Amino acid sequence: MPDVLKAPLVVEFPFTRSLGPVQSAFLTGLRERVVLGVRTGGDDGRVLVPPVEYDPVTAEELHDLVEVAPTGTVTTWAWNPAPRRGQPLSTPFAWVLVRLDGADTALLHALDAPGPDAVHTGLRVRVRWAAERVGAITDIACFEPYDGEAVQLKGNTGQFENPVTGIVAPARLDYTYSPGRAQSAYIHALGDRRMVAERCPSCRKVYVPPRGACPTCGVATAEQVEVGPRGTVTTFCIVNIKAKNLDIEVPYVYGHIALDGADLALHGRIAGIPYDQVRMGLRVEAVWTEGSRYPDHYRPTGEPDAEYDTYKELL
Amino acid sequence: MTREIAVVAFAQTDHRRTSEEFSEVEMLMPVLHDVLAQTGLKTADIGFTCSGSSDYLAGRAFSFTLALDGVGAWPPISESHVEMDGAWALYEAWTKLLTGDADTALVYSYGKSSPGSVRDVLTRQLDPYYVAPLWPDSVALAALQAQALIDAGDTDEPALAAVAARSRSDASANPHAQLRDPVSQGEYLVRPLRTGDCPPIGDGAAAVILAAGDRARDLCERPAWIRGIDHRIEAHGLGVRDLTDSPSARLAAEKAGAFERPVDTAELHAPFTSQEVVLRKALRLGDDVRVNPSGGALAAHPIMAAGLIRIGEAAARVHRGESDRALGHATSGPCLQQNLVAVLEGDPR
Amino acid sequence: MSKEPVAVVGIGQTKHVAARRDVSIAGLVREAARRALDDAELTWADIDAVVIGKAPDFFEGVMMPELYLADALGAVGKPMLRVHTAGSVGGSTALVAANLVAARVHGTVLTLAFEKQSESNAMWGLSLPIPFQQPLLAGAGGFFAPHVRAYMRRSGAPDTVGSLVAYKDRRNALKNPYAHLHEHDITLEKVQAAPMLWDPIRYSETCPSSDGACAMVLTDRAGAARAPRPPAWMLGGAMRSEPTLFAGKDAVSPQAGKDCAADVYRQAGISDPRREIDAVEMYVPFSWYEPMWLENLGFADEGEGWKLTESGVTELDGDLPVDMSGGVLSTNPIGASGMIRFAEAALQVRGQAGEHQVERAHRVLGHAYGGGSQFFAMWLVGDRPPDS
Repeated sequence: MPDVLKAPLVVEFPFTRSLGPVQSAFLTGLRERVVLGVRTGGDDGRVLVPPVEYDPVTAEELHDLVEVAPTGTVTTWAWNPAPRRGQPLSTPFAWVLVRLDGADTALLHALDAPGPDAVHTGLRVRVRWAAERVGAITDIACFEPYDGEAVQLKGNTGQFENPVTGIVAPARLDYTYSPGRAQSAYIHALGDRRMVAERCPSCRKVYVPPRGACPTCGVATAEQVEVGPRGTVTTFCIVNIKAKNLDIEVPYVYGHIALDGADLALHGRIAGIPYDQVRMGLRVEAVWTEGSRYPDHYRPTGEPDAEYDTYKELL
Repeated sequence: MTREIAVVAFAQTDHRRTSEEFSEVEMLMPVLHDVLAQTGLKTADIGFTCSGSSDYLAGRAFSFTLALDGVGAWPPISESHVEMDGAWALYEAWTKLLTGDADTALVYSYGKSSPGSVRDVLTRQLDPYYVAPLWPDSVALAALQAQALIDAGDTDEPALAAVAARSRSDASANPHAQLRDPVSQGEYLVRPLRTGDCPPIGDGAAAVILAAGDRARDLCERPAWIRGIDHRIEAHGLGVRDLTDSPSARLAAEKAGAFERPVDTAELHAPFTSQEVVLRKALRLGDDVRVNPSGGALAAHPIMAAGLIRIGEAAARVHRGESDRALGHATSGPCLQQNLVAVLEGDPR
Repeated sequence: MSKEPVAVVGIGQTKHVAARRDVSIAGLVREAARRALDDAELTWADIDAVVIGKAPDFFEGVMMPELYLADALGAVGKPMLRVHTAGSVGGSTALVAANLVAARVHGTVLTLAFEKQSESNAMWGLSLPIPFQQPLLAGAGGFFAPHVRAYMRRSGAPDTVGSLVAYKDRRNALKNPYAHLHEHDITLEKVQAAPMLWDPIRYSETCPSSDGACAMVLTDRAGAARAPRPPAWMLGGAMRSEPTLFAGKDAVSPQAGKDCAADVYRQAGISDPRREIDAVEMYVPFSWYEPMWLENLGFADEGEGWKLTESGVTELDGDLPVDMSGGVLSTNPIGASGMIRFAEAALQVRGQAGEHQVERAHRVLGHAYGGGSQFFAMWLVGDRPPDS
């Protein structure tokens, strides 16, 4: 069995998140070095920090914003000796849940401390503000131990100029992708410009590209069968809109091609013929270019068109 | 009258650190063949199929559509998918059988943790505004919970180490487990949790067949009857929850009838040693209950399948006559946010 | 044991738009859920369980977002299930919720589906750079356009049929306050003058990208008896799946779609859908899928579906109105699109559809599909309980 392939896969996107009014007020407050909580309704009137939009107990919508102190008490902690990408501090730190003075619930963040021996539940801490603040949870750079006086509050109720209405949340995850046995074998063969399909031992259908299982029988395919390089265009569309990350001049033809010997069509670009002359039944062959893993496109072979009845099951 | 429904077969992969030589469907298919062979059923005989998996674990959208190739869904099948652990797929299948629309169900789930950094991937489950931007990983959150338990006097580090040792020792009798030997507790990963307190990272799949009434008796010598099954979710914010307790697990257990009579066995989906402490308390499991004889999630933790495996392992003990009344538990979300409890019983021997 | 009849007693949706910049993800789903509860005159405490669905998690960049949404949907302390069956998910989610009632596991269930496409870009989510794979050679429409061409070849339909569907659906959308596209100056000429993006699909014959959510309250007979407004009764519901790609697949009229419809009709005692069903909300992401699904669902013989469209049968005042709400062509929050079809079917039989209400809507089909035309979910709802 040839080596199974693997390669890095980076899944990365800067998500644009709009905010509801409570979130907007809280994050704008952080920008202004003010911490807001939200008061729940009813008799108990608890103050939730961070302020959530909906009451975790009653599900009621919350909007009664109240200022709380930037100082508070650690309710639990965990020492992180090896910070990971994206975490608030790059040197060892403690994760903490902190109940800020004036709040009834705790906020998750990082605590900058010299070591685990300097941290304990009940420790008094205060917010260390980020130097540049944009209206995001990271405007709190971290917490730091604090044994000073209580901070005087101004009674802010969440009214700010130029409130933030959204955040950009970049997220990157790194994977190592492996396509598994069957697809690896297929891709290896492509390196020799051969298209190697696999036949189902049960229904005898020939699959290209092979995906490791016959999808109708639910059994592994293994018997390798070379198919193509000629085939029939079974159906197609003319692409008039440039796709992102694709350096192909429009218009071009995107077709389904049933390679000779295969029992279903694969997809490819049809070229070497004016786009408006491509038709169902056109006979084509794969054209490879230097350095490309897949055929660059398929071009007419000059054979007579295939009869509709010969490919109508392969659209 | 409520329909009687049982787990009649269970199969799983040998769970490993990586299965990179196989695609997901290549990893899953032998398990499907195994569980069908145990009952003599074919895909076409199955009334309903339901699976659980996660696109985020796979790193690609619609990953479950490729896994469906392994089922052989032709002619077309009655099928559904949850973006949850397979235990919830089993729950959906159970409701389908209750309606009488189907007499048998195939339930499967799979997860490959090897391609990505699962600690980081799971941060994407958290509040996307206030918490996810800080990237607090799954071990860190479990460690916050563990420290809360220690502060409350519910456990200490030696007790956690004992849970770890017992689990890996029990796993020596489980050929599917990834960790089958005692491992040292090791260094702190995130204090107070050491490597030994944490689950192995690995890949795996599992499948279960459910059947109703006499069909179950036909397919299995000693069906594991689902006497009750229920699941409950808690608030999302860690700071609003009491991390030393699991009211959702307790409520699910109550609704599933777990407290009506004692169970002799419990398979708990507790990926971290400290979470077993929380669950034992919430589920009122005494010292006489055999907890995680399979080694539990501390011996093999293929995410998205590990909860289904707990129910499967509990059922398999009933099948083998090693248990008369067993509890299977599954969890989802940070620090046991969501919990499912199934109570399984064998017919009197 | 017979199943408990299932009734829809509450329906809510958001005003669908390209980007809801004034709400969080929770705020979006909450708005639909709140409206469904208000419609049913129920409170959060009346809900026994929540079943939520959406398309891939990558679209919003939140893994298993139901964990974060539990609070907003009043699910704390309750069962919460998350369904994902690709484009059909909105329909599947409603059916999973309906099963909870039919099985008498719960009396009243809130079901909801959503997508907030503006958080990212769906094409990014659909085309992650998977190594070794051949890059996608065309956008979303390029995946469907060859199947449309195959349909045209097979049926001999004139190439104007697609534009008729788009013109009809966009006019219907003008009567639906929740629809995303409100093209007040729409004309057939404008539809036909739009550029061909993926010939034979014109820009005007594609669906928009929307932020939106849809919710329903499902309940049992006792719950329906307490409902303040007429309920819609589920007369049949089914899901069918077939593999993505396989030798012999008919992408124009997939077997799974035919089987799914047949199962629904069997449950509802329908032998002639064209005569016995009064209207259809079907999942038409590109205009040509209307005639294709009319055949697949048994409303027309193979190759004849386009004739119903061309002759005006599927118009709002036609004999078999299709996509009275404006359909997916006018509104497409992907994960919610299937549930909107189901909910709009229910609105019709409840007589609550407002300006796009059709007369004599006693039995209406809701239809959803997804993946590579492989996952199907449908329900038939009526204005009278089953077996009555």
